[in-house]
Amino acid sequence: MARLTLLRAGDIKWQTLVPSLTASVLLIAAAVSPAAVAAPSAQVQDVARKDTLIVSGFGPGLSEITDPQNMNPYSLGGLGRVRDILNKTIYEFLYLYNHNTGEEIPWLAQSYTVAPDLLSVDVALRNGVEWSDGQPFTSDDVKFTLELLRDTPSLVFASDIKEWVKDVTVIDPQHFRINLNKPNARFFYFYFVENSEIHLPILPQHIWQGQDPASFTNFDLSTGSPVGTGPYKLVDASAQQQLFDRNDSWWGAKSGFQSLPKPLRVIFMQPGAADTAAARTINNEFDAGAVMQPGVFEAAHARNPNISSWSPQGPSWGAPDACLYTLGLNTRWGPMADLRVRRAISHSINRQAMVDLAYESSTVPQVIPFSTYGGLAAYQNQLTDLINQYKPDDPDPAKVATDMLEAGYTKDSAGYWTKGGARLTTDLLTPGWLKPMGPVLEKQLRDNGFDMTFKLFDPDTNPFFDIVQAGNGNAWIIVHCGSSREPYGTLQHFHSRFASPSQGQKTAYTWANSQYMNPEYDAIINQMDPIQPSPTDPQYMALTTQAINLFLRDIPEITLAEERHVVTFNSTYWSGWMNQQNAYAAPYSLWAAFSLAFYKLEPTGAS
Amino acid sequence: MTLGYVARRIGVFFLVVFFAVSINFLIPRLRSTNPIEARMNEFAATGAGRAGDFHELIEIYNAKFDFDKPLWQQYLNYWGDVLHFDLGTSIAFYPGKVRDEIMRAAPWTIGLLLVSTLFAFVIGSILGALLAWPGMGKLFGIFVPVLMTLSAIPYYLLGLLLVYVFALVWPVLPSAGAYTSGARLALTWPIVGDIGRHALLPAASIVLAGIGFWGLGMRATMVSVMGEDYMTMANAKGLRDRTMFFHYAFRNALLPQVTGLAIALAGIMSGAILVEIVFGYPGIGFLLYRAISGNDYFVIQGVVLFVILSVGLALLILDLVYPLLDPRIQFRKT
Repeated sequence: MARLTLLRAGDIKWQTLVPSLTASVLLIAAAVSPAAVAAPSAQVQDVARKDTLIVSGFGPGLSEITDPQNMNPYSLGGLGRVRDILNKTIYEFLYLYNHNTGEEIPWLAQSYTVAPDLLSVDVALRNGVEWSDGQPFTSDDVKFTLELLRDTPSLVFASDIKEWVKDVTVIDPQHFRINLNKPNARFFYFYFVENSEIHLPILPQHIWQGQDPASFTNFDLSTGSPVGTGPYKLVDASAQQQLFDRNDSWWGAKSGFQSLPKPLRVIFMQPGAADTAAARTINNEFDAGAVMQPGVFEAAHARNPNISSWSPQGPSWGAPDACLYTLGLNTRWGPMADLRVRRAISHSINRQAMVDLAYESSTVPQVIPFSTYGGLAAYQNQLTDLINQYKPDDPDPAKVATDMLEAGYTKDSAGYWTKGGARLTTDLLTPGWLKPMGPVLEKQLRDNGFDMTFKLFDPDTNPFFDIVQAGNGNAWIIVHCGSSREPYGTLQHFHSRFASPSQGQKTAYTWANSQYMNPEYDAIINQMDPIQPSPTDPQYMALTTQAINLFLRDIPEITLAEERHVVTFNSTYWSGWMNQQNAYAAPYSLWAAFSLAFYKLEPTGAS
Repeated sequence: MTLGYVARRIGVFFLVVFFAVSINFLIPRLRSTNPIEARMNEFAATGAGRAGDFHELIEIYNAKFDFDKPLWQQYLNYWGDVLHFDLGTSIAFYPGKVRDEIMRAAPWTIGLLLVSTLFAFVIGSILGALLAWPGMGKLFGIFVPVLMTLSAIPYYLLGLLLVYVFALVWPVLPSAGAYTSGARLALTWPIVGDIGRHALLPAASIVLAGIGFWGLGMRATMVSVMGEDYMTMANAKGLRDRTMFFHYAFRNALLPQVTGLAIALAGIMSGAILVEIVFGYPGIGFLLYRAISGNDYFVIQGVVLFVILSVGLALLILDLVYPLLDPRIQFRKT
């Protein structure tokens, strides 16, 4: 068979050109099709990059754009819609909170007073607050929102509000009273001040009244919907991005409360995969939001020095988030119900090694379940002696052996602890987002004779929480989130009211799964319930010390280290980001107080 | 081709769809997790209220989504909805309709994967055929290990490599997204060009991996075809190389490739999940990934239903068209 003469000069041109041209035409034609499908309805002006702030989501999960054309904050998908860009643009809150200092920042409200009997809260709203359509924001809107939540069980947060809110009394347009079903010293703080997790946006009554609150999408750009009090208005929304343009008629600027934020446009972008999000930050496509692993951050910073994180120095670049890396233990059923076994487990763990290996030394070991936030520091400082008395961070194989032998265990031929012929074998349940810790802890525990294997639930955490909450797990890795300003926030989770009624029935709260039941401890928490917290209050501090004493003695869980995230900022176009030296708010774009950055940012002039 | 054959083939299509749709219904429900409860647990894990207090809400949505009914009743209701082309309401996007979510995502995926798949098929098939043609070895021999390597590398890894090279080291292309941030979709040349530019890297990752797949397949088939008597006959008759290549060898070797292409084209409705995640591309694959992570049964079922129908229809059409492509294939009883 002769040599193919297909590739003569004249032929090469056509044989390669035709498919190339055809495919190019196809590419363009295909590219056009989405444009035709998703054309926007609103006329929107172009805004230069130098006037645009681009925020990517915190990471996969709730921060992804869930139905870009649904702005209902309380329907089944509601939290994901609010707990990101909407809480900085469309919605504002009665208060904001600076986690770094514990400062409460009045925003839509001016003040609040908790009644001495803890059964009501009087709130004064700020004068001059308006919705984006020019209607006044009044106490009636607050009453409408809270009572709508109370009476509509299909809404997210309805169960909370139904449990606590009896009704809302409108005193006048600027003053109202929230009447509670039962005493709660922290109700207002929990739902309206510390907006890191719970976000309760107030709804405009004149828009929402008469709508089905579970299915109302609150989205119609042609009529200016969604209506909020925030300094931005939504002008375009697609699965890739949401565009918010500055509302120059914002009430805050008109009333002199704040200056208008400098960015003319805010764009919320789908973050995508972590690696590409990092690449986009390096390329100045994102101004804020991408979370990186410490090593990735260092590489990104080397490529683009304008990229920074919370701390100016490593290796702990990241910021605390009020959560603690924790080894959860089932104190009620299974082998961990024996305090001596829990103590042996505790002595098996080398926290610093875990931090170094799992998190590249990017965080710090902790032994009690409080973050390093400023509001908690004054309490922790007073607990130092007590902590030194127990020495919970004390990896020591000899102490492991002592406790295990006392508990009736002996080592089998393979070197694992055994009792009555049965080896202590169990899974170390690990949700996907905490997987760096799994192999490290497994190794440390195995080295000390515990036949434990980490079992990963990734990317879907189910049924991790089902197992743990029902008391069917023995040991698990988790973050324990709670206290952001006072010890009670986390300590209450060890009260027996959070324990399962019986094994197989789930606990009453996601983070409270130790199944710890101690009447002595319950009595301490019961006494803390009605007290307004203060590190200078001897009674509150004494109760805190007693609770921590039991925590360290009984080891209902093992606090390992502080959870810190390397959130990143890019100062190519905007300067003035929060950081350790300029800690006006926590750096988490999920949280409402992140909005304070919008008022602090200054354009660098880069184009 | 007889009428009986066509009827039988259509019957098989419906049978396949019936079983596939039934399996599609059952698989998500084999998990012990209640999707509404999982959704609320996800909320609770991020601070939204207390999981134990969600019972009333869970009951309400269980009733809305039929989860409180026996499985057989859910199954019958599901078929009723499918026959009315109602894919139901999404859990994660509630109260958004599954159909709307799929329609929102589908154009991106079809645009990206249709072009990429055709590109890979055309280039891969031509290259594979040339590799097998005698005398081309020296010129194209280098491509064999390249093709084998490309076919062995998952396309999402190629994607990351392309991002590194063309978006970071030599930043000439955007690293992610379907179009420039801040741009608004409209039927204008700048936007069309922008979309095409953003599609280049994800498309290239699929094309590069695909070329290897199609090329090696074509090469193997060509080698087999080259040993056929009719090729010897054609050579003995002194036919031109180009005639032998295109009309005798390439056309015959293309038949199994076309079958593969039909299945690949039908499968694009499932999206290229990892590519879409890596590149933050708002297509079907990304939608499916989020639906699986979020226990959103109805979106999963909706996407898979589209895939089932696409593949089933593609194979049906292929079976009916095959005799036209290859006159040797006849569907008569012997």
